[in-house]
Amino acid sequence: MSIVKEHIGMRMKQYAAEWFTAEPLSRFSLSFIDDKLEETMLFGELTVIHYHMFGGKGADIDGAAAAIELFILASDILDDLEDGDAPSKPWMKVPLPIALHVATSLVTLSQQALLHATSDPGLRGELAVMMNAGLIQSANGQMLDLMNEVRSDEDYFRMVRDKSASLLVIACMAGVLLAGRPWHETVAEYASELGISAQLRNDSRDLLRWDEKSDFLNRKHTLLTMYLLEGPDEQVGWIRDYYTGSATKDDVTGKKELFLQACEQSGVILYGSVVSRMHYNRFQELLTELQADAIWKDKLLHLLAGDQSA
Amino acid sequence: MLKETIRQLVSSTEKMSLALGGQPQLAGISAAEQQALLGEMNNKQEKNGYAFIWN
Repeated sequence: MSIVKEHIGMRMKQYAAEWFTAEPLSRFSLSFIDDKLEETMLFGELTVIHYHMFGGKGADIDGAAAAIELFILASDILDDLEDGDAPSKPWMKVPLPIALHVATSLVTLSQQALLHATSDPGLRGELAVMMNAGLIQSANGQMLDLMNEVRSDEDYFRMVRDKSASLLVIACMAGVLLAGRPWHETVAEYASELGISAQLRNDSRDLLRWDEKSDFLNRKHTLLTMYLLEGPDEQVGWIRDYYTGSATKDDVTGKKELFLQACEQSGVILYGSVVSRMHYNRFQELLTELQADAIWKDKLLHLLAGDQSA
Repeated sequence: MLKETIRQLVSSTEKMSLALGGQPQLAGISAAEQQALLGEMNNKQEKNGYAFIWN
C-alpha cells in the first residue's frame, strides 16, 4: 500500500471513530472502510496531487483526501444497493436499512471532514458549494443511469459527465481550492475528460462479463451496447430481440460464446477503446497546457498509469 | 464516421493488416479520431491512464 493511501485510510477511520459515537454506526463504518482499503484511493490521491500542483501549504490535505474517499465509499455502497449486484461486499451482507443508514451517514461525514481541512471560513464556504454542486450533478446522472433511458450518444455522454466525471472534478478541485486558488476551468475540463475515458474502459469490461454485472444481460444502454445494437441482423439480430423484449433472459443465457463472437466481429471493443483514448488524449493535451508544477503534473500521469510510487 | 471506419476495419483482413502496418485508409474521420485509432491499434500494450477508476 502506498504511503499516501495508508495516510488517507487512517484518516478515514479517525473521522468515523471521532464523529460516529453510536457504537454500531462506528463499527459498521470501520468494517466498510477496511473493505475500501483493499482498493485504490485514486480520488483521494488526485486531491493531494492537485493541492501540491498548485503550491498548496497549510491545509490538512490528507484529511481532505480522506473526505473525498469517504464520499466515494458512500457512493459505491449506494450504487451497489441500487444495482443489487455485488453480493461479496460487506454492505450487501448486512440488513438493507443498516447499509443505507451507514451510506447516508458517510455522505454527511465526508462533507464535515472536507470542511475541517481548513480553518478559513471563506474557503470552507467555497468547498461546500463546490462539493454540493458536484454531488447534485452526480445524483442527476445516477438517476438517468438507473432509469436506463439513454438512447443516443449525446444522452450517454451527458449521463457520464454528470454521474461519473463530476466526482473526478470534485476530487481534483478540492485540491485546487485548498491550495488557495479559485475554481479552475481547465482542471474541471480535463478531470471530466478523464472520467469519461475511465467510464468507457469500465463499460468495455462490463460488456464482456457474463454475470450479474453484465451490461448485456441487464439490457443496459451504454455507448458500446448502442454501437452493438446498430449492427447487421445476421450479427446482432438476436441481441436486438433481447433488448426489445421479444427474447427473454432464458433465451440468451446459453449464448455467451455467440455474444463474444458478435463483440469481436462488430469491433465494439476497439470502438470503445478508441473513444476512451480520444478523451484520454484530450486530458493529456489540457494537462500539458496547464500552468502548474511540472513535477506534480508528472506524478499525476504516473498515478493514472497505475504506478504506486507516484 | 468513426463507427463505420471501425466496422470496415474489423470486417476486412486486408484493411486491418494495412492499419496494423501503419498504413491505414482512414478517410473521413477527424485527426483526433485517427490519432486515437492508431494509438489503440499500434500500442495496445502501452501503459497509460486507463486504470479502472470505478469498480
